Amino acid sequence: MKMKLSVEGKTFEVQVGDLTANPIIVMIDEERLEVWPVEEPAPAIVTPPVTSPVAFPKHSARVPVPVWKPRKTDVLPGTENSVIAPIPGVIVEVNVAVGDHVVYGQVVCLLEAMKMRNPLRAAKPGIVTEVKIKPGQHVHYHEPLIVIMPES
Amino acid sequence: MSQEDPRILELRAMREKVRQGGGKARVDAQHAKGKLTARERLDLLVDKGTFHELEPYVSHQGDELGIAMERIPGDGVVTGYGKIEGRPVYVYSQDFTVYGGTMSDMVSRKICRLMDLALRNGAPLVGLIDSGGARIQEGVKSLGGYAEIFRRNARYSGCIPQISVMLGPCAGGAAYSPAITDIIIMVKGHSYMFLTGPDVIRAVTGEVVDAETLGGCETHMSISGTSHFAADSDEHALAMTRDLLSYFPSNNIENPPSAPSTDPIDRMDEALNSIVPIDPMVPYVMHEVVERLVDDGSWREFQPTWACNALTGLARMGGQPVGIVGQEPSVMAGVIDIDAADKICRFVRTCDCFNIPILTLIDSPGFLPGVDQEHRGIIRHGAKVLYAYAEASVPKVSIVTRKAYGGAYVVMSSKYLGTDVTYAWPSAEIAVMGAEGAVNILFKKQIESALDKVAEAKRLAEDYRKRFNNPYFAAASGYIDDIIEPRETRLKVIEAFRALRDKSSPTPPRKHGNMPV
Repeated sequence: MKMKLSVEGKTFEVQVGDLTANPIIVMIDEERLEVWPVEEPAPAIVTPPVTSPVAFPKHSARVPVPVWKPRKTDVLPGTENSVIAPIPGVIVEVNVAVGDHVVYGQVVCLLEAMKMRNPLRAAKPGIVTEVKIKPGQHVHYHEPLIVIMPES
Repeated sequence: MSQEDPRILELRAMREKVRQGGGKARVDAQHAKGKLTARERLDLLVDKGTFHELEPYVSHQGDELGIAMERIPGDGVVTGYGKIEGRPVYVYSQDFTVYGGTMSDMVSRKICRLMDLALRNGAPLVGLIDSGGARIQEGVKSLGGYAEIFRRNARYSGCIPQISVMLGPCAGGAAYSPAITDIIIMVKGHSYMFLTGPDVIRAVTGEVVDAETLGGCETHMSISGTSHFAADSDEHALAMTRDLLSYFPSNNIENPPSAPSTDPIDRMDEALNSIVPIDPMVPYVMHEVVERLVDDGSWREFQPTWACNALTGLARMGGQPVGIVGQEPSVMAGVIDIDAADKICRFVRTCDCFNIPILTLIDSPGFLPGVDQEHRGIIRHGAKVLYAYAEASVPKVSIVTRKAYGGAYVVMSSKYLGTDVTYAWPSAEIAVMGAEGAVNILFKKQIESALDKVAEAKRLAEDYRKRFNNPYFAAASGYIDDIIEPRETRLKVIEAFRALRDKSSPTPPRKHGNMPV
């Protein structure tokens, strides 16, 4: 392959030899140049991300969602429908009466224990059928306090 | 084109047979249960194309009982190595389609060889568990096989991270292997762990219980505290495993890998300045404090639904993995009971094994009082917490956010248990006991001789509160390194850990400690 190239007003006569050869011989005017083509590196193996579900929900630190959830250990055999005392203490406030409808997560009484007024909540919606406590009463560990029957 | 060498063709045929595991019918049955096969799981766990299987042609040898069983190459487990995010990992995946993934002599040998390789090369070991239990046909050989695995689980504990992913049944003695490992992930719906199954329990005690209630995911996540993470599906569990390993070094010599973070280290969080209510009797949510302190979205809570009065988990701060321990004042006032002590102790030791620094957020009114707790041994359980903290040689930073009373303050990484930097928020209350209790002991005579006993007790308690319900008394005695504004906590903690990065705290020579259990 022969061509004429002009660089900054000066003309060169260029002759390029076999492009598949190694080296490729290039003649510029009378000057012989050897060009050693470099093998292009093989493309890196890219690992596609695992297409499985997001491992952990990414909730932002700026929008924390403290969601109250009933604990399995607060349900004892025979007290499935009761709010029980998670720690021993003194009842300071009872917020519901027999016949009241309560919703999930509603605060039904306040238990003062371990230097804290702990709100105790309904684990499921229903009707209050029994209130076994009154303010000022001492309650034991895991004592049933308020019975909430599911509405049929 | 020349004819392929028949020997090559035979190898290809053998490889295909290995790949099919227990055959199409059993693979279909596995899929019908919503489960993936052993090899499908491996493909999802490791980086694409990086898994290399070992000993695929091993098959069971003994047949003492004379039960003719087809020899399936590979036996009940697939073992090999691969990479997760480019880092080497050794994996075994029990194949339920081959004899129910039961434990045979050869299965055990394959797993043990893999464990030895993982240790020698300082790379994490992941077990994908889906097994019907011991292979009864092999008798004591199968039991010996378990023991070989347990021994390695125990001896390699603390050298390389070990994760057990429960993707199917794991019954009887087999359940001990995951129990020794650092992390257990259970899949909801089709993973079970128990020592004695529902049938045995019904025969022995008469109790009627199904496998899910006895040892399913929810049970071990919320009641027994055996499992650390719950996954919705096989895919989810494997993605969790990949994610969790990014917080761990490959072995106990390396430091945990840092990850670039876009969350500025000097981010001030104004909301933290008002997160602790003025009234010390009103609870707040410590989880929110954690979420606000750590790199955005990096919080991975361990055992989120068990012993919720304590919180434990890994996060990144300034890109660097940090173990976080704290109380949750909105649950049981943040008291430490037996379960909470177990949870904290185990987590602190997990971090210490793998050079992960520990941040402790203290808001505990004390240990849970009661006959039940005392009789069940809260002394030895509570002692574990202080043992773990005192033993841990990683960088330790603690922050008293509010209540730090009595023994609960001492065991939760107090300064002289070896904590490197101790901070307090202005809301901190550090005292031996609460005001009312203290004045009743200190000023018993003064109160009894007073005209108005109630008013005198109240006055004295108020005086006590003024003196102790702030961090300045502790800071004046040098028990607190500094009192900081809550909003600047993130920066203070990150800078503290950077200053402590090259901490060296050699353990006195000994065989091992004797922690109360």
